[in-house]
Amino acid sequence: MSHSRFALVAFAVAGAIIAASPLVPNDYYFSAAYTVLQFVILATAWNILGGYAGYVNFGSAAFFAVGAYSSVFLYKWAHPPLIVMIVSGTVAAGLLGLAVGYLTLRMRGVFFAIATLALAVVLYTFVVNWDYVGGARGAYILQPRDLPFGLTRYIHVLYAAMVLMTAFALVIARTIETSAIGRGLAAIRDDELAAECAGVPTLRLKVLAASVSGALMGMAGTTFPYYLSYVEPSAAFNLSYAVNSIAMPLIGGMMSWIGPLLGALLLGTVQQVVQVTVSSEWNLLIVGVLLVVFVTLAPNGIMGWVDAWKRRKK
Amino acid sequence: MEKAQEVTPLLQVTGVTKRFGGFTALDAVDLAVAPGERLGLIGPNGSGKSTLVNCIAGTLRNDAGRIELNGRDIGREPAFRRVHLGVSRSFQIPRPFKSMSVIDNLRIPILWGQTPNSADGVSPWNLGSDPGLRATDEAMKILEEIGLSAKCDAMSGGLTQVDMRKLELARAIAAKPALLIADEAMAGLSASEVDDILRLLFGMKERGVAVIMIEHVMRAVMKFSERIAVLVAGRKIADGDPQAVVAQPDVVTAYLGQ
Repeated sequence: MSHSRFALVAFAVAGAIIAASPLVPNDYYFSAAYTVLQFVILATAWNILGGYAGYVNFGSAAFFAVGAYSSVFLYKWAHPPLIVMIVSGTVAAGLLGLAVGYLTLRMRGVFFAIATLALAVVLYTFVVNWDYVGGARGAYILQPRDLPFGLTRYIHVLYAAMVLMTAFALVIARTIETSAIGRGLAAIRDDELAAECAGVPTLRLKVLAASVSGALMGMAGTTFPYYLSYVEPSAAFNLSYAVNSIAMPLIGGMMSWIGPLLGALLLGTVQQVVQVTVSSEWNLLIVGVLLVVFVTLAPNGIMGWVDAWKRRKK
Repeated sequence: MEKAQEVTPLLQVTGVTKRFGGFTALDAVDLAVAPGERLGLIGPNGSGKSTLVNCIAGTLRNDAGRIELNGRDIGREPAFRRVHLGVSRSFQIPRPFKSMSVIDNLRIPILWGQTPNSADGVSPWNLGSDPGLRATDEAMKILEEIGLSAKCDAMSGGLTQVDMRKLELARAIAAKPALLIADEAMAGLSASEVDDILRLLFGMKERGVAVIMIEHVMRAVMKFSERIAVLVAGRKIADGDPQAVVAQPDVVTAYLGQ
């Protein structure tokens, strides 16, 4: 399928999902779906650098929080429309990805991972001490009263925005994956030195992947302040973002855009169900157990398992 | 040696020195390669052959000296740009892209390594339709020449050592170099396989590709080379006609001992 046709299909599906909203009986489902889709974006974004190029980013929460706090800042400063917040937060996180990528992607594997971990800590400290956006106390964000398209609840707006952003993220990920850039990133993942000696501009491709990956993670966070109405640093920088955005692609499969989507839908839904039926305290434990199971039984994730099964059938 | 200096050299290495801490791996090495020339580079283990290759290919930076390609100083260019300018190398220990099929391995240099860029002049940065498919014909042609076409869809990580060496060479050729550096491409190969590879490397002459062959298989080096250079302990001790060079007393000493 060509890139433009895939984009058309993705946004058509997104439109259909949004159009079907009135059929949903209970507002809780919007909130739950919002959270699951937020993880789909995070996992998809993480996979662009982590899955395609093989560079593990432990700092997903930092990029997510940059998106969230960029919206908080804009809200305090000028009250712009939601779309302006989304675009600004995406650009801000993308620039962070560019800077971090340029500074740290000369380092190999584990050093890059440690650098991203440090980034999250540094940014957290920065935000805690930045009074304008609420500092450690956090900031209250009021949802707008007047809603577009005759919608009745603001969660419907956020849900629709999240569905569209998810489609956007999937289109970006698939476009990169099926281009020469995706092949170049795969070469980097397999053997960076050999890739460079085959003419692949490895540093440029890695920085590009880090920027796009960071931008999409930030995008997922831009609507977060409105969703919770209250943002504090420990929520925006929560460990679960970093853990889930690694675990979901790992469980789904890291070689293609479908893997993170599957992994996030599966793990995200399980977490939502457990949160309602048991307790959210269990969520990280579930992630841990599933990770152990998959790493031992299906190290290439669900998609890797499916591929192996298809090959055996042949 | 005189022959190389009659025409403008393709590659001109002047006084290249490389140190690792207190150890001098290359000591003011000079080397010239003419366009289309076949040069054999020999020397005992640890004599600096691979270090020289790494300095020319850009995977190591030389501490002193100049490396020129077609008169242009490439000593500070990153490795990937040297590939674009026409220097391509194979690795002594095969480094296939393991998650890819054999043909996908070749698509990487075809898309990213050629000048001006990519199979049909479309930039690899272009996000248009799947670029891999455009590179298929070119990749298959190279695989046929090297005798890997039957395994084009096999995963490269599962190849035998021999096939991996062939793939290594095929990938270096796929970048369409002006200078091909084959770093021990024949180690461990049978006599008939050595002949296959030799035939392929001889064929590079028709395309105007100069070849530096680093090899311990002396039969192959003698048969292949128009000129032989000898490195011993980081210094070039001989450079010239193959028969004359291997008869030189200090070369014999370096290889066989006193």
